[in-house]
Amino acid sequence: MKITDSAVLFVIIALPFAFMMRIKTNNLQNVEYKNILLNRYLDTAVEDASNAMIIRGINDRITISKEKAVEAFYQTLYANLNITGDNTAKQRLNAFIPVIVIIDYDGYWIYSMETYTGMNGEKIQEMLWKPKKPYVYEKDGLVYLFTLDDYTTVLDIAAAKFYEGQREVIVQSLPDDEIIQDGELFEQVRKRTIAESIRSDVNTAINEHNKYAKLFGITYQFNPPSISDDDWQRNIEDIGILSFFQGIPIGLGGERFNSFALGAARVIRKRLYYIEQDENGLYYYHRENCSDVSLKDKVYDSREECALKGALPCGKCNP
Amino acid sequence: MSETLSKIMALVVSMFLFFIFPVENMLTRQDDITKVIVLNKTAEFVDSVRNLGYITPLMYMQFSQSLSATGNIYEITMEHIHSSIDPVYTDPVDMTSFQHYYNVNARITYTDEILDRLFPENPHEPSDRYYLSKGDIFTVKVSNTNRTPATKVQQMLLMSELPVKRIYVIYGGMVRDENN
Repeated sequence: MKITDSAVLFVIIALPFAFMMRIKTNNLQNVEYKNILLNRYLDTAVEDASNAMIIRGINDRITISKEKAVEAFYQTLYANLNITGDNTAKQRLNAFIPVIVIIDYDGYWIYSMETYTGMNGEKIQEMLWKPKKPYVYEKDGLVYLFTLDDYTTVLDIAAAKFYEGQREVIVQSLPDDEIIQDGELFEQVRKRTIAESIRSDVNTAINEHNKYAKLFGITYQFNPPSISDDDWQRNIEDIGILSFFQGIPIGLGGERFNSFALGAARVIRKRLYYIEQDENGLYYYHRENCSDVSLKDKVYDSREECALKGALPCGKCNP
Repeated sequence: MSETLSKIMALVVSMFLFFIFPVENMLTRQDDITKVIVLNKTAEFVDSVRNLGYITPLMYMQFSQSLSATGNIYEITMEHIHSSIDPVYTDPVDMTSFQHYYNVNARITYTDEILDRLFPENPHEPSDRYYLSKGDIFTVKVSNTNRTPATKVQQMLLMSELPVKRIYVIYGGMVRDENN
């Protein structure tokens, strides 16, 4: 065989491979881009939801509206995916969201699929709110009801007694209770209880969702996400919304988008600022952890408040 | 005579087809994949900064290390647009000239200043976190500064200078939270 012939033969064999490689890498780029895009949409949606769910009433009393949160979540998601007017597309998208959790100060709500019999005896399947669940831990006949901070209710079943308040307050009433006595242990148990109870309900809801996904024509097997204990405990610290996305097809090679997003309403954690005079007699405002702050006598809640006092932003901590 | 010439020509053409074409093709694919990795790593870094509200020296080191693992040299440009709330004075040194209102000004910090905070040149100054505020904009641009192998091969084939920038990623967004 002539060298030219073998060269031509080589090209005939090699070209399809090269072509396929090109398609595959293009697909890979596309998948990566879509992944980032969808993550961004999901983040924006939970952010909007967590902003929408806080309702400030008279005297700055805060209430949580789970309905408003979910409404805002879906609205933002639909708007970003440009399916606001398309009900079929909306329903298809909804099937990829197995569960939404609203985390409140003293408990949480699960929003997931449920089947029930309607008024006329027909079967109805839709996303429903489950009753609010408290963060409960039980040990040695004592029931602990935790919250997102150290406010706790301890119920002594045998004595039929309630102890309610900050941990430092109820510490005298329960002298033999090691969880209440030991501050570090208390934090550990509290965090674990919150994370564990939410996790187990999320897992149940996602497993349940497989049943419904089939009805929507989704063949994807929904699996509880593998999130480490640490991540759970670190993420759930504040009132917020947690939503899971699974199985959205995004590539030619069967790639799926799996993710979860957490939006916190940031009502518990507060930012603090301090004003201090420097050696030139000028007033500056600082973040609470700025190394230039020496005396913390008066706290300000916002940067605007500090600026209205005439203080300049500190150049070091850049508030 | 013409027999020899056609043989040489055939040899040159088949050399090209056998070796240079597959190599060029493979290297171009490698650049494509590198681009995906760089985009992924940049998004990861920027998103963690946006969620945390600060940059630690370790975060930046891990980011640049994961980039250099792709075998190219990159230029990382960071940009932080801070909305600074400044009280208005008619005379900055006279405290009594305060106008009792404030302006919101955009103050932009660039790579050098951010890196100087993370890795101070003065060895006595401790390396520190760089803090951002909620609502600020943080953007990272990554581009390669070396010629990638694919560029080199293509330059050889075309016998001309090609632009160096092959991998170019811009990613940014609003800072969502402040942590201490």
